[in-house]
Amino acid sequence: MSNESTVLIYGTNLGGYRAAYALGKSGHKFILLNRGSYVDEMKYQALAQLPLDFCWICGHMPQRLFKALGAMQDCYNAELLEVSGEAGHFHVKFKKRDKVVNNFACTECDQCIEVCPVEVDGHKAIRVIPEAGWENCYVIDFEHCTRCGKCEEVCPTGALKVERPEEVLEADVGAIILADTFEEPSDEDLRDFALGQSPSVIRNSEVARRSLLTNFVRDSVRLPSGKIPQTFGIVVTPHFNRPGVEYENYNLSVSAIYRAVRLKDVLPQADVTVFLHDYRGTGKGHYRWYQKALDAGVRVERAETLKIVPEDGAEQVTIHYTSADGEAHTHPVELAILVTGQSPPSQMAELSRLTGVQADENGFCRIRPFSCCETDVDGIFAVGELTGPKGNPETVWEGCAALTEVLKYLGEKNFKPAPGPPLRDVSEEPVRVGVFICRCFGLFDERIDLSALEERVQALPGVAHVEVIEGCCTGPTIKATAERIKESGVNRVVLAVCTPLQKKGKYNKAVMMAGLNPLLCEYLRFREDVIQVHTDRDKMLEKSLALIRSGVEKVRRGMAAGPPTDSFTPHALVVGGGLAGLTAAHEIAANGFPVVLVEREERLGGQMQYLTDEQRKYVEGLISAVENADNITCYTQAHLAQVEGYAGNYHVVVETPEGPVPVDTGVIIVATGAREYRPEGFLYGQDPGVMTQAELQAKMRNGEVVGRVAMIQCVGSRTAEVPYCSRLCCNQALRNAIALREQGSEVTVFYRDIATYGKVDYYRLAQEAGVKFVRFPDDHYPDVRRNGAGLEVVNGKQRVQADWVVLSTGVVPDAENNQALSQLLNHPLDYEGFFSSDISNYPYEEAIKKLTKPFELASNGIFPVGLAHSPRSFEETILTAKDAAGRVLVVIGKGKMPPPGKMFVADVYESLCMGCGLCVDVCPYNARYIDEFKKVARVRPFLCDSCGSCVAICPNDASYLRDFMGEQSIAALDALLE
Amino acid sequence: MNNKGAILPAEDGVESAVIGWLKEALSKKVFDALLIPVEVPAGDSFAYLLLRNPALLENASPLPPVMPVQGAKAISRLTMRGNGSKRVAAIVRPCEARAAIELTKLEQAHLDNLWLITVDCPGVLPLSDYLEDPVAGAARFAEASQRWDRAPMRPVCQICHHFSMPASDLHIGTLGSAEGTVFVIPGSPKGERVMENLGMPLDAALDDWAARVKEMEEVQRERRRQAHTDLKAGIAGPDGLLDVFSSCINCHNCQRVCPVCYCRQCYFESAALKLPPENYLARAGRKGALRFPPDTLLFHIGRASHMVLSCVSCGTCEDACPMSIPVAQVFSLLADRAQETFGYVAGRSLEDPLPLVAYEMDELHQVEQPYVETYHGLQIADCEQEVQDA
Amino acid sequence: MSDKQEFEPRIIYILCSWCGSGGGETAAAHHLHYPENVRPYRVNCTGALPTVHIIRPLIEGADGVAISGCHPGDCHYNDGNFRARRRVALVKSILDTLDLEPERVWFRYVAHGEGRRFVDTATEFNDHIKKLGPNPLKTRSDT
Repeated sequence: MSNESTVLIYGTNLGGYRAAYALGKSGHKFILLNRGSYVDEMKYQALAQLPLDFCWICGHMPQRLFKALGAMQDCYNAELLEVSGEAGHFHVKFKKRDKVVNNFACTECDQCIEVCPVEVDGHKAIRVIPEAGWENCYVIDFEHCTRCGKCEEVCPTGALKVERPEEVLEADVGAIILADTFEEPSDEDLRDFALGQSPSVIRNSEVARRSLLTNFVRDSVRLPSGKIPQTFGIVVTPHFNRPGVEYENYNLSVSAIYRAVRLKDVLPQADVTVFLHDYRGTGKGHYRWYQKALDAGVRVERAETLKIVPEDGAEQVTIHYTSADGEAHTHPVELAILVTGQSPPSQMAELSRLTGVQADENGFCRIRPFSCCETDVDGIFAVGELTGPKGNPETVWEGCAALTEVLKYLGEKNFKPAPGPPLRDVSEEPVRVGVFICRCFGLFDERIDLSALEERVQALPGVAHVEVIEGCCTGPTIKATAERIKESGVNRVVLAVCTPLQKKGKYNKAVMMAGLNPLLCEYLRFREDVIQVHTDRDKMLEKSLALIRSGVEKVRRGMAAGPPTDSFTPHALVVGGGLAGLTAAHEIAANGFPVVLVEREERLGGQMQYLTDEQRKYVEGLISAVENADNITCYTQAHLAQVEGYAGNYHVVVETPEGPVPVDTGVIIVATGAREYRPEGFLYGQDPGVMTQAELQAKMRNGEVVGRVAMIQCVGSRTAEVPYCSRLCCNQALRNAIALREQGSEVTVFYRDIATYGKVDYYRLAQEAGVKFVRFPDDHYPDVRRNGAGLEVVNGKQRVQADWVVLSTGVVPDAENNQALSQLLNHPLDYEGFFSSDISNYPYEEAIKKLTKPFELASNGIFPVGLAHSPRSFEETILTAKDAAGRVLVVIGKGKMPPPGKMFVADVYESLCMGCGLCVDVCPYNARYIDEFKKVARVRPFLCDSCGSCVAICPNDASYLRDFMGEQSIAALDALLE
Repeated sequence: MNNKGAILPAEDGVESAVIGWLKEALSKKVFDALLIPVEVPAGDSFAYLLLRNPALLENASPLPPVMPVQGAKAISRLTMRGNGSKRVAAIVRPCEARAAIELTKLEQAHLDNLWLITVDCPGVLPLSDYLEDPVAGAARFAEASQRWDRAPMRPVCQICHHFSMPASDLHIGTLGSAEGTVFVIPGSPKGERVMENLGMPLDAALDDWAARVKEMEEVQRERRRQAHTDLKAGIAGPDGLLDVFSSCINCHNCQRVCPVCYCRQCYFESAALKLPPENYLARAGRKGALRFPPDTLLFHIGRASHMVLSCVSCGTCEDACPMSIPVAQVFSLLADRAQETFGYVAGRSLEDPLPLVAYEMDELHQVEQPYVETYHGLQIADCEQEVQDA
Repeated sequence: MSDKQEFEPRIIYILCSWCGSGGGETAAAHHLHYPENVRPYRVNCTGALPTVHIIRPLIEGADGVAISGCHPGDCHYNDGNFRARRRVALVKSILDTLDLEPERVWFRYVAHGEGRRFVDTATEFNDHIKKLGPNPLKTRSDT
C-alpha cells in the first residue's frame, strides 16, 4: 500500500506556515489546523519578537493562494482528537468550528458591525481583527453577543453565520507536523515587573499591537492619562525572571535594543535605558544594532538582578537593580517596556497523549539528535518555538527543512494547480473596452449615484460597454461577471472593484473565464480610492470618472502575451563537502535529483577536528551515504573554475585533478565553511599553557587535568576586525567549563557578555557548578602573563592565577576563498564577509523576506549554507542545509516553468535598445543581461519579479513591463488630469 | 601621474608641434590610426577623420576653431561594438574626452584600445559666427586663443572651468610652458607607455603649468558662478523659461548632436507621446489652447532629467539650434546643480558610478517630506497642551 | 479663479503597489477620509517611476504631485525606493533651478499599515498646494 500524500499541520507558528507553503509548492495537499478562531492570533507577540517594525501580513498570501487552488484545507477553532496508525498512514480525527465569517465570501462591507446592537469597551460584539487593509478577520465576542442574528440578516453574501456547528472530521495523512505558536508569559509570571500593577508598565507586544495602524509612533507609547513619557526603561525580562518561567528567544536583546533605537527616532530628547544581563545578540548582524544604539544615545545597563516597583497613583515606576559590583541602584521611569520571552508550551501534555511525542526536561518538544524537526515518533514532526526558544530566521528555516524530512513518508504528489481556461486571441479584433462597476451587493448604491456614473462612463471615448455588477469576489459573482464580460463581446476590461492586493486572483479568474488575458485588464480600487474615503457625492463621481477614464486609456493600449517559460536544469551543484554540503547533497539526491559535489581537500567531511565523537560518527555516516549514492558525483581536490549562466541554467566548469569537467546545474549550494580565528597576543603560540577551546577539548579527551583554568571570551569577535558575535563560543566555553568543574578544576571565565542561547541554560548551570565569572570592558581585554606560579590573567586590579588559559576564538570567513568564489558566482558577500543569502542587510530581513516573498530564485539560485552563511552550531548547520535543500526541491523538478508573476514580467523592445546595460545594473534579481552579439538587453524570465526598476532607468522605454508600457502610462496620466 | 611631463619643442606654434608629434607616432606605429579633426577640402568646416596615412595630416588641427561634431560621438561610433585590436588615438577637446568617458560607462564606447589625447582648451567659436566667414573666423579664433581671450567663443566655453586635463591618457599642456614649448603630460599607464615608446623622458616639472591652470580655473569658476546667477534670474519661473523656449520648433537637433544622448529613438519622439486627437483636445480644453507640435517643455525638462547628470557642458546643442535658443547655457546650469546634488562630476573618472544607478542608504534626507504625527487631526503638541490645561 | 479659497487643486498621488497602496487600503478599512481631489496613480514600485511621469502631470494640469512608497529598507523589491529618492532629488533640482516650485512635489514614505499617515499626507499636501495656489504651468498653451 503506498503512503498517503497529504500532511496534517497542527498549529500555526511561522515554521508551520513555511512548511505549509513548501508542501503546497511541492505538490502535496495539507490540512492546517488553527487552534485560534482567526489567522494570526499570535501576531503581536511575534511582531514584538521580530526586531523590526515590519508588517508581514503579506506572508499569508501563499496560504490564500493554496486555498483557492485546492491545496489547503484550513480549519479554525480546531483541536486534534485522535491519532492512530503509523508513519505514512496516519488516521487522524479532529474537530473544528468554522470562522464566524468566511473570508472568501466576505466583502468587508462592515454592515454586520453597523447593525450590531451590543457595544462593549468601545467596540461592538462583532469586530475586525487585525485592523489593517488586509485579510480582515471578523470575530464575535460571544461573551457579550446576544445572538440576535441581525448581522447575519444584513450580510450580502451569506458569509456570516453566528452559529457555526462544531464538526468532527477524519482524514488519512502521511505525516503530521506540530507547529504550535509560542505562549507569552502571563501577567502573573511577570508580577516581579509590576505588569498589571501600574499604568507605566507595558509589554513590547502590546506596543506592537498599538502600532499596527500607524507604525511605531509616539502614540504607541502614550500613557493612559494622555501624556507621552520622557523616560523609558526597556527590560529584557527573561534575564531577571525566576528560572523556568520564561525562555529567551535568541532575538530578545536585539528586540530591546531595536525598540530603544526607534524610541530615540520618534522622541529624540527621551532618556532611554535598556536593562539586560548580557547583550545576547548572537551571530551575524546583531552587533551592529548595539553600536547603533550607543551612537543614538541609548544607555545600556547590565544588571545582575532587577525588579520593578510601582508607585501608587503615579504614572511612574522605579526599576530596582543591582550591578555587577553588587551595588544597588534605582532608576525611575515613566514607562517600562517589557521585552518578554516565551513560556514553555502548555500543550505538550496533550500532544504527548495524542501522538506519543515526548517533552524534554525543559518542557519543549523533543527532537531526535541531529535532525531538525523529527520527533521520537516516526512520521511526526515539530517545528518552530514548540521545540525550543529560537530566533526568527531559525523558525522560518525549519519550515523548508521539515519538507526534506517529511517527504520520505509521503506518497506521490497529489496536488497540481488546474490549468487556466483557454484564452482567446484578440490581436486581430478592433479594441472594445468594457467597464464593469461593482455595487458591492448594493452597498455602494447609497454612497454614490451609480446610474449617473454609468452614463458618464458610456460617453467616454473608447468605451464600448458599461454595466454595474453585483460583485466579483465570491464564487457565484465571479462566474456571473465572467458571463457578463463574455456576452458583452469586449476584449479589454476595466473592473471598478476593490483591493486587488487581496483579490487579484479572483479578478484574474473572472476575466480568464471570459477568455481574456489579464494583461488586457485593469482592476481599480473603487472602494478604497472612492467609496470608503470620501463623502461628497458629486466629487466622488468626478473622481470615479477620472479613475475609470485612466483605466480605460491604459487597457485600450494593452497587449496580450503568454507567460514566458524557461527550462530549469534538474541538477544541483554543491560546493564544499563538509557537514552542510553533505547534508544538502544527500537530501536533494534522495529525492531523485543528480548532484555534483565539489570539495577542495582530499577527503570529504570538512573540519572534523572540532566535532565530538557522536558528531563525528554522524558525519562519517553522511559521507558514506553520499559516497554510495548513485546520483551523487563527488570530486575531491577540485574547485570551481568557471561559472556562467543564471538560476536554472548554470554552466559550470569544475577543475579536477583529471582535468576540467563541465557541469550543467540548476542551482549552486555554497557550503564552503569558514575558519577559526587565529588568536594574536595573549601569549598564544608562545606559551604551551595558552590554547583555544578546541585545543582544550583535545586535551580533555586525552585525559589531561589541571587545577586552575581561566577562559577569555570574545577573542576575535565583536571587534573592529571581526564586527559580529561568533555565536558558538559562549555555549561551547561554558559546556567545557562545566566539564572542567566536574573534574575538580577551578574555572574563571572572563567575558564581555555571556551570550549563551538555546533551551539549555548553560549560564545557570555553570554558575551552579561554581564557575566564576569576571566581566571586562569592551575596549580593554585582559592581559595574559607568565609568572613564577604559572599563568596570570590580569583584568584591571584583578589577577587570577591559572595553569591553562583558554581563548574562546570566533568564526571568521575564509576571506580569500570567499572573495574568489563571490567573484566567480557574481554573488555578493555581506558586511561581515560571509555569503549574503538574500539581498538584505540583517538576518531578520532574510527570514521575513523569505516568508513574505517566497521567491526561491531571488538570489539567482545560489544558496549559501552552514558556516559559509554565518557562524552556526552543528545542528544549525544541518538546519540551513536542509532549508536550502527544501527550497531547491520546491523548484528543481518543474522542468519548463513560467516566472512566479506568470505573464507579468519585463521585456525589451530590441529595436529601441542600445545595450547600455543600465537596466542590468539596477535589476535587484539579476534578471537581465546584455546579449553581446546583438547588443541588446534580455530578460531571464524566472528571475524577474516585475518591479520596474529597469523601466525607470531606461531613458527611452526600450525596457518595459508588460502591464506598464510607455504608451499606456502617459495616456493614463493625462486622463487622470481631466 | 601629473607630477612630471615631457617638453615638446614648439617653435612654429602649438599646432605644428602637436601634428608633427602625432605624425611621428603614427609613422612609428605607436598608434595604428588617429581620430583627429581635419579641415574639409572646401575650407569652411572641420571634420573628424579616422586617419591612417600620415601624409593626410597636412590640414589636421588639434584645436580647430569650431566643433561641428562632438568628438565623443565619433569615438562612440568607432568603438561602440568593442575595443578592436588596433590602437587609435583620438585628439579631442577636454569636454569631448569627458563625454567619451560618460559614454563608456553607458557601454556606448570602449576605451581600452583608444588613447584620449587632449589639449588645454580656449573654447570654440559659435558655428554660425564662423560660417559667416570661415577665413576671418579662423583668424579671429587664432588671435583670441593666443591671448586666452574667450570673448568670441561659445557662451558655455566662456564660462568653462574644465578646460584643462581631464581623465585622458595624454594631455598637451600649453599653459605655463616656456616660450616655444608645450608640455606633454601622461594621464594613465597606457599614456606613459606611449611616451616611453616615443622616447620622451618624463623629466619636466609641471608646477608652472599646474599653477597657471589653477589660476585660470579660479577666474573661470567666478565667471561661471556669475553667469549662472544671471541666467537663473533671467529664465526664472514659467514666464522666463517659456519665453526662452518659445521659438523652439521641436526639431530635436539639440538631442541629436548631444554626445550623451545615446538613444536610437528619443523617448520624446516615441509612440508614448503620440496620442489620439481626444487627448490633445482635452489638454487644449484645460489650457485654453495647445501649441503644435506640442510637448516642447516636456521635451526639454524631460530630456534634462534623462541626460543632465552626464552633461559635460560642451555647447554643441546650442550651435545646432536653428532658432538660436541658449540651450547649452540652460542645460549647463541645470547640469551643475543636479550633479552637485549627488557629488558627481560628469566625465571626471571611469570609476565614478552613474548617480542613478548607485545609491546610499543614508542620504538625501532633504528630499524626504518630514511627517509630524497628528492625533485625530490635532498636533501632538496641542494634545499635550490640552492635557496640561485640563 | 479669483478666490484662492475656492481653488480646488488637481493632485496626483503616486503610490507603489505594495506599501503605498496598502496605506491607502488601510485608511479605507478604517473609513479615514481625505479630500476628493487627490487622485491616485499606481506604479509597481516607486523605483519604477520614471522622471517624466512626475514632470508630465505638472505641465498638463496637476497642481501638485505627491509620491509615497515603502520605507527605506522595506521596499518590496529590495532597493527601488532608494533610487526613487535619487530620481525625486533630480527632478526637484531641475525644478528648483528653473524656479518652477519644487515644493509642488512631495516624497514621503508610507508603510502598508500606516493608514493614518496616508490620509494625513493627502490632506496636508492638499492644504499645502491650496496655499501655493494653482500651478501657473497648467494654463500655459506654449508648453
